[in-house]
Amino acid sequence: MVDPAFILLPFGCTVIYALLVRKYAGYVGSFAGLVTLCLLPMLSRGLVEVPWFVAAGEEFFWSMMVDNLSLLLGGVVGGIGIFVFFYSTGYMTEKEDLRRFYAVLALFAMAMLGVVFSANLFQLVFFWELVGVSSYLLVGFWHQKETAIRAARKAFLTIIVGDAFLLGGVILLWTYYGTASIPVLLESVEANTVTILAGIGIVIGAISKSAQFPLHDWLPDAMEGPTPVSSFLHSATMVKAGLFLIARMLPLLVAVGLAPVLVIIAVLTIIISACIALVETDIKRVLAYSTMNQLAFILLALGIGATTAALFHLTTHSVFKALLFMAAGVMIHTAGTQDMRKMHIRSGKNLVAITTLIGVLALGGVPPFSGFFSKDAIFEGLLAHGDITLLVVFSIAVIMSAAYIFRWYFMLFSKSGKKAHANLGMTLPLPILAFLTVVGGGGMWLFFEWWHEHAHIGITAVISLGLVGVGWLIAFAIYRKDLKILWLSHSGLAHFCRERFLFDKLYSSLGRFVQGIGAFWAWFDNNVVDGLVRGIGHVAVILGDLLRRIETGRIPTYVGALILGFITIVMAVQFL
Amino acid sequence: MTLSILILIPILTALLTFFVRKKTKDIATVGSIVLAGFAGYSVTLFNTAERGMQLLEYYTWFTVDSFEVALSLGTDGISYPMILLTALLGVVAVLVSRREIKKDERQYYALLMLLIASIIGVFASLDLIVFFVFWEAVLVLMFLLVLKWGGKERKYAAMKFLVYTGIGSAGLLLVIILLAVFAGTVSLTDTFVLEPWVQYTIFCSLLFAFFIKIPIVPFHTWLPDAHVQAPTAGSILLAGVMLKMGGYGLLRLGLLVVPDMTVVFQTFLFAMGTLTIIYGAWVCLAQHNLKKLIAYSSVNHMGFVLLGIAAGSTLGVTGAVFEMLSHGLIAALLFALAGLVHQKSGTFDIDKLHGLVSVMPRTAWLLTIAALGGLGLPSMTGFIAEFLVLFASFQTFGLWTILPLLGIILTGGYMVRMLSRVVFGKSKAKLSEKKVNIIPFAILTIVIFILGIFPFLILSIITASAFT
Repeated sequence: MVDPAFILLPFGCTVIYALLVRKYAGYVGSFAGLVTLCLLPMLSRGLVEVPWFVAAGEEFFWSMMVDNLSLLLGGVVGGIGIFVFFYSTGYMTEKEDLRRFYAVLALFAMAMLGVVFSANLFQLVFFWELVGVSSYLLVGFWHQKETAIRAARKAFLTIIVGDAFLLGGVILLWTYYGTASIPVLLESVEANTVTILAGIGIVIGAISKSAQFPLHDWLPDAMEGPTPVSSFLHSATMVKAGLFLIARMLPLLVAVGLAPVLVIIAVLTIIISACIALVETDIKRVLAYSTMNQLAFILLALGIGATTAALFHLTTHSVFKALLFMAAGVMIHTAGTQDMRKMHIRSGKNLVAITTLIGVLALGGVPPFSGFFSKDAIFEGLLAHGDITLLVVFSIAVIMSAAYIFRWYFMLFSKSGKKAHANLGMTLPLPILAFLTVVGGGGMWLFFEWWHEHAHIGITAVISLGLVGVGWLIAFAIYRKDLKILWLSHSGLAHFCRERFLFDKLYSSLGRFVQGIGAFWAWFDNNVVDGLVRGIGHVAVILGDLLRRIETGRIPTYVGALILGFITIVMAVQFL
Repeated sequence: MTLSILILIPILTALLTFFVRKKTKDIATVGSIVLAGFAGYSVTLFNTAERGMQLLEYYTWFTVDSFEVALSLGTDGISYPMILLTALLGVVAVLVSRREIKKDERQYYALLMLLIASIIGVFASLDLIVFFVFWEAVLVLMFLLVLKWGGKERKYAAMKFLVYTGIGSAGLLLVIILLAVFAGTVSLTDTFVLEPWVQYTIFCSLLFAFFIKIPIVPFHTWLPDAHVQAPTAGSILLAGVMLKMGGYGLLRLGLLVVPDMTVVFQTFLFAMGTLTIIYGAWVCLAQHNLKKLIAYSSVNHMGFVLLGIAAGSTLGVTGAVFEMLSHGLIAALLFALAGLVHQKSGTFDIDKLHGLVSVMPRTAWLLTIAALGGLGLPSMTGFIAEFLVLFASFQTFGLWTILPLLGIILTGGYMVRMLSRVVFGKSKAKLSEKKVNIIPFAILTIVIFILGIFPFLILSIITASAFT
């Protein structure tokens, strides 16, 4: 049995290796992912707690906990990490600052593992913010691009807002319950105002990381980062950190009645992201919105208590979305543009087309690919939950998600296009991930067994297949057969969707507003606060000047003053 | 003898640099390194299990009637970290001066060394009259440094600094006189029995004196001017340790002499601390001068120190001291880097400095690390400090702590804005970072990370404070 702290070691060493040696850092990172994966089953289960430091009697612990949830997320980080680092060796050219790229990427992987294995909230926040900052540095990796800088800034600021709320929630819980240990907190949770507020803090922290409404708008912009980053952080792992946190703290959130809030957030995100994904024309942005959409499915499942289904979908999504992003990277490499209307990739019997199709089918929810099974598990959960509104929303969401991903496929691929090609580093991960997507669905029973539950496939499978068919039909009719219902795309609604429901504008105005107030305060500081100080200085100088003038140096003045003073004293003595 | 040696080493170095006339820089460098080395050695003499003042020394200076004024030295968990910080920043200040200062080196290094000695004197003296002598010496020496080696508007800034903080010192002098009259002693090792009205008067004049020094909004406007005009080493010591003299004074005199008053004024202190945090951060958002931005960020961070003191608990005091230490390191790094940038580019203007990373990558990445440290990134000291202060504040003030939490978001905002303007992007300027001595920056960065990951190294010292 291995101490759980060792799980941070492989990627931790990669950070140092990348900084010092740089050469072959991609392969080292890939190997570190493999080592992480191999370490997972060897970790000693349960809780390991070591005192970290003491401040004025408050004890801070370094504590790690190994349970199914952390092992699952750890597996996703390690597993996807293998492919992402390998893919990066092909994607990144020697001209780039590879030292920084691999060091930060490995730092991210380490911090992410730190988050999922943390058994106390202080330590979780510690790694949580490191995850956020590595995302900032990676989104802004191409720092000569103004758009990348702006995207990185936006992503980081949104995440900082979430971090502050999470920090507040953690401190509230610690103050009230006297501990930050997650297992203890979950056992002793009470439904009171403090816990509700802390819960809200945790939820805000989580949705800022997982790009859920209303803190979702940073994710599409974050696609400015290199594609391996989009694939690793912004689809497979980092954005799952928020969902992980909610899954981890779910008993607490349910106890204080925040589950409906999660459901509402999820539903709004599902609608918004699916609508935008249907009109977006940037190959990576569509995937970003679909990530948001699929994360909202998972959040919905968590909100109704179908935890196992949620985590199953989380896992399968990580694999097929990483696959789609990597394939998108190859296509961008081939076409030299990210605009889907100009890309024209050849469909048919070639590696990229086939693996992409597998990813698309999995995301759309077609059997026997993994996405079908995990989506079906959520459907089952909803059916068991029994809320008709949610079932209707989910059904529409399934149609829409099938529609936008088939639209994506139809817009990209045609018989006459260029054949997608890239070097071995970029193409090798594709068939492996595609293979995992194919067999992943069959893993459903294993997964549920592992989680001590029973998988079940029933009537929902047929319904959901039907819904997917509808979605496919819509995409096929419009984008393959050029059916002229395109007036929709010129309507106000489509325009509104293209404008991202105005969230982009809203947040930039908010930023400008805060900045404007800052400018006012700066003016205020310079002119009023400091003006007052300078004013007092001037008054002192003027007074001094006046007093100085009394000393005229002329005898009559002094004699006059002397007489005046004498008279005053005499009169004062007389009257008192 | 430990503390007096720590004061004597820089004084001796000052004398040597002034009178030897040769190798001025090297003598100063060696002197500062010896000081830091001895400070490092002195850690082994500090007993972390001891709860009160230690490393005590006592030399009678003069007596008037039965009133004795003594060079009485001693330290505890509050002042000792500050002494260590001063010794460390002394090395950094000397190293960054080596390329920057070109005129009258002898005078410069002698004054700088005397300044360091006086700052250590402030933190180490237990007799308030000696404390006040050191305190004033610090002001005058800093005034001279800004006046002679400062930027273009150094005369205005130096005068403003001297007069403004000098007025603050008047409050401190009043406190000492009141103590001498009503308590009959000015030694911090004694206990003070005072009538309520004296306590009120003392506390109010303490607040006046230290609010200017820390500085707390609205008494802060001397700081940006002084910083922008000061030479880099001056800024490093000013932000790194001199502002801490205010926080230290409030902790020491407020909690030791009139402890009840901090409870009476708790809400007021909280309000002022929060105001300082939020206002400081918000003003930062609109700054166009890099050094001014860092100066206001000092205001922002010193608000956390007051917040920790306001909380009144042991945790709050610990947090406040840790925040002082943390900010001392991070602000020093930021100012050192700003000085380097200015040295190479000739400007502090944020709009002109765009895209530093493409021309001065090492400097730019260090600046990124320092800025991230400033916004409280875990693994650096700022995170632990802010966490402790906010934790203490939550315990005392409950949900009102949401206000300073919002300040953290603003802090993130201005730091990220600064990074995306100054560090990232394409640069048109032709700068180079050849011949840059990386050592001072490396020292600070490493210490920031070490204390951020292993905070117990310093927390064990802080916990040995007089107020547990």
